Amino acid sequence: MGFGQLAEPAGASDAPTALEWAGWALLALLTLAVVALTLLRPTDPAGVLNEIRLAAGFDRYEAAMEDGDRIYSTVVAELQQTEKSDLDHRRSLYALLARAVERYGIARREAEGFYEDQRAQIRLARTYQLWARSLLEDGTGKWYQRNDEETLLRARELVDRALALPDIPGDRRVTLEEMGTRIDRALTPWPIL
Amino acid sequence: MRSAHRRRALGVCLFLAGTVLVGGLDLPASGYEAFRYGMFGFTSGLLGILYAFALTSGGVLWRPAGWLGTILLIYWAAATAMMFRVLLPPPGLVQVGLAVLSAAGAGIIVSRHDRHGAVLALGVVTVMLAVIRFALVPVFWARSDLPNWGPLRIGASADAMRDFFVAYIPERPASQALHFLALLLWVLALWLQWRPPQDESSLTAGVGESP
Repeated sequence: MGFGQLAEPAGASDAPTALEWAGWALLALLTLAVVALTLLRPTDPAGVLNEIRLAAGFDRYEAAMEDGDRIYSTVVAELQQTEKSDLDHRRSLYALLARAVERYGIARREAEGFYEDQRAQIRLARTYQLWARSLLEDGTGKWYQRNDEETLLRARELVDRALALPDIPGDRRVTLEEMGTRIDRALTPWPIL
Repeated sequence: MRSAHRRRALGVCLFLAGTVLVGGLDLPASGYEAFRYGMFGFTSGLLGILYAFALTSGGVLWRPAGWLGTILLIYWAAATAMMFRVLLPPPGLVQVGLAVLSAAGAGIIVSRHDRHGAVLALGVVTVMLAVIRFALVPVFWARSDLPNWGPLRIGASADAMRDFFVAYIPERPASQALHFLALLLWVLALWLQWRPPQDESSLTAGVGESP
């Protein structure tokens, strides 16, 4: 048998068999997977599973929480290795944090009862805090440089959003208020006044 | 329509869909991404269409009449475009030169009168691109780094110059295995349709003849 030679079944009927239907279904599935990968641009196998769970509506609360936690821990690890001057990379990490916030938002909507909602709020506040702290670092220049007010105002907005969450613990609220004060000082032209 | 033709076309499409799926997967060596899926771009897409046309004209690709032929052509074009995405180096001056050379290679394939010669020409183009993409570019990228000397930031300038030629992003070694698998699936699709089912009245000229 040479290159490309395959034996064909003699006298095969024209109607598609069950195996052939399965083949067409597999082709449709592969094509759909390509389209989904192109549009959704996942970066982690766990993210793909969580996306499927969210789309299928199967335990959406836990799927959203797990995905938010995964994104948050990724950003924490990346921020430790990213230089302050690498603004493009930091912006891509902030986009990830926005995604984590969106995931926790889904979790809050799907929460059944007070404790599930509070758990999502605590994670949400933690994400806002990390985001605001990082923006505070970005927006604060050296002693001879002017602070970036736009970035600082964005950081302040995030702190306010976190403080607006009704059921976060007291120590987290105090930490956020202290950060808000630091941002306000950085925004003031002459902090000594 | 004979079921044998339909089944053969289905098998070819499955291999080609596998090429598109596996060929788009990248495994970055650094960063938070465990994997990344990238569809082929404009240049690779055009090359895919050009090569699908050249290979069909040269009688290398089996194209039955009707909707099966259309589906096959779409999958061939997409898989060939993904093959060029795998083989072409990242954007930069090197990619420009190689894309132009590859387009010229399509002309050579059309000019061949026998299928084996056309496939051999395609193989030569593939090996040439693979050597540059997987052997030359990583070595050039790794050895063209310069340190920053205090206020003289010649390292940054060297990086910018390097990106002008090829904006290479290092990948994990397993990435090469994935890309090889994608090319293998493309070759399997070609092998599967090399001798199409017999008694086909609508075969393109020359397809199915004994080599």
